[in-house]
Amino acid sequence: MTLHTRLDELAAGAPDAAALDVDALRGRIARRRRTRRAAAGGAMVLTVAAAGTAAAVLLPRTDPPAQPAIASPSPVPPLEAYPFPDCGTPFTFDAPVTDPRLTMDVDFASPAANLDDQLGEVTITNVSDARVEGDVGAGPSLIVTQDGRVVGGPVFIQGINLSLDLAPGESAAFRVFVGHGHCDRGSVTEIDTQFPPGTYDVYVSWYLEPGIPGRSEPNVRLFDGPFTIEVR
Amino acid sequence: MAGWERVLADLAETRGQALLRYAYLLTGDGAEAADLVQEALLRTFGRTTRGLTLESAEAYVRRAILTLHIDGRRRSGRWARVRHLVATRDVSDGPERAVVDGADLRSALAALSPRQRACVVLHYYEDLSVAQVADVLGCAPGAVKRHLSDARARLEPLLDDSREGSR
Repeated sequence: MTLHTRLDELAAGAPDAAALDVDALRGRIARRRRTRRAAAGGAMVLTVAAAGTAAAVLLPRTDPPAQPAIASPSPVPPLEAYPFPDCGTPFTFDAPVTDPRLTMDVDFASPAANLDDQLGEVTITNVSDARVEGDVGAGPSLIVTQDGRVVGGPVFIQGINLSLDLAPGESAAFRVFVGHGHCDRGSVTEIDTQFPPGTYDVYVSWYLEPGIPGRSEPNVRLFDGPFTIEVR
Repeated sequence: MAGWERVLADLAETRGQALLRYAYLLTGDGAEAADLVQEALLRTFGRTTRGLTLESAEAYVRRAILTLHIDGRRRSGRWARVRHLVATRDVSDGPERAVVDGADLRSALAALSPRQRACVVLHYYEDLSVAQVADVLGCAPGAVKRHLSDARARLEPLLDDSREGSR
């Protein structure tokens, strides 16, 4: 009798597959995945700060006002189809863009030191009766206005693709990791993401590209604002 | 149901028993094997990596099972403490040769070090070549051959056909 045969006989004493508590395991896995996503978000804050002068794309401040330039160091186009109005152009948006599956709650602090990740959180909640999963790019982005005109927007986006995986009723919070800049600041050689002191009306955009294999679903786009923020 | 949940369910249903058998041979204990498989599943699916297939997930889980088993912090201390309880030696044959009860393969395996045992399971049960075992364990083929040789010295008395060699 070979060792393989003996081992095979011995392996027959292994517990039955029912010993695997898949239901309990599913819950533990979901929690771990959420924790890891949160940790990834925290790490991105540091990455964004470090990349401020090295990567990214600069906000043109030429005359006439130009549309904020967007680029990413990796092929992650999280803001495609986002309405990027030109600097200086009038912008008002009265009705939020909603979706039957997800809701967006914006909890921004005012006054704030800057329009960045310290602003607060954007919470996405699955209000449907099915799981929602997919990629959310770098998370929420802003259109910044003053007196009804665009004065700032995204200036760089890290090549980080956050994911979302929400069971019915679950929520996930995101910070503003996309770098934003004022139209009148910055240069072609460096990025300045500090907004001058003042009162701004910001609009928040968030999108999801569903990623459940075998299921074709339209992207989710949420848009809300204005939220008045005083930058000191 | 999310993509990863479907793969998890499929894996548990279709390959769960095979994974448990694999873990059972490594650990020698049913409850520990179940814990090991569940921890490996948690590690594999707890990552946010997307695109797991049934095949790739099983490969990840098997590697995680092995890593957990080999992990000295988790296991070696305990193994060292209980080794004398599960293995017997015939002192008349000297310290280099373990004499095992011909019917007790379980005890003989328990007398092996975790890495020796992993080599035996991977080579003789999973049918991996020495080179493949070395790759999985991240060591040199020579080390695998040494582990297998040492293990065979303990296990051969249990076997009717002791000519089974390394490939």
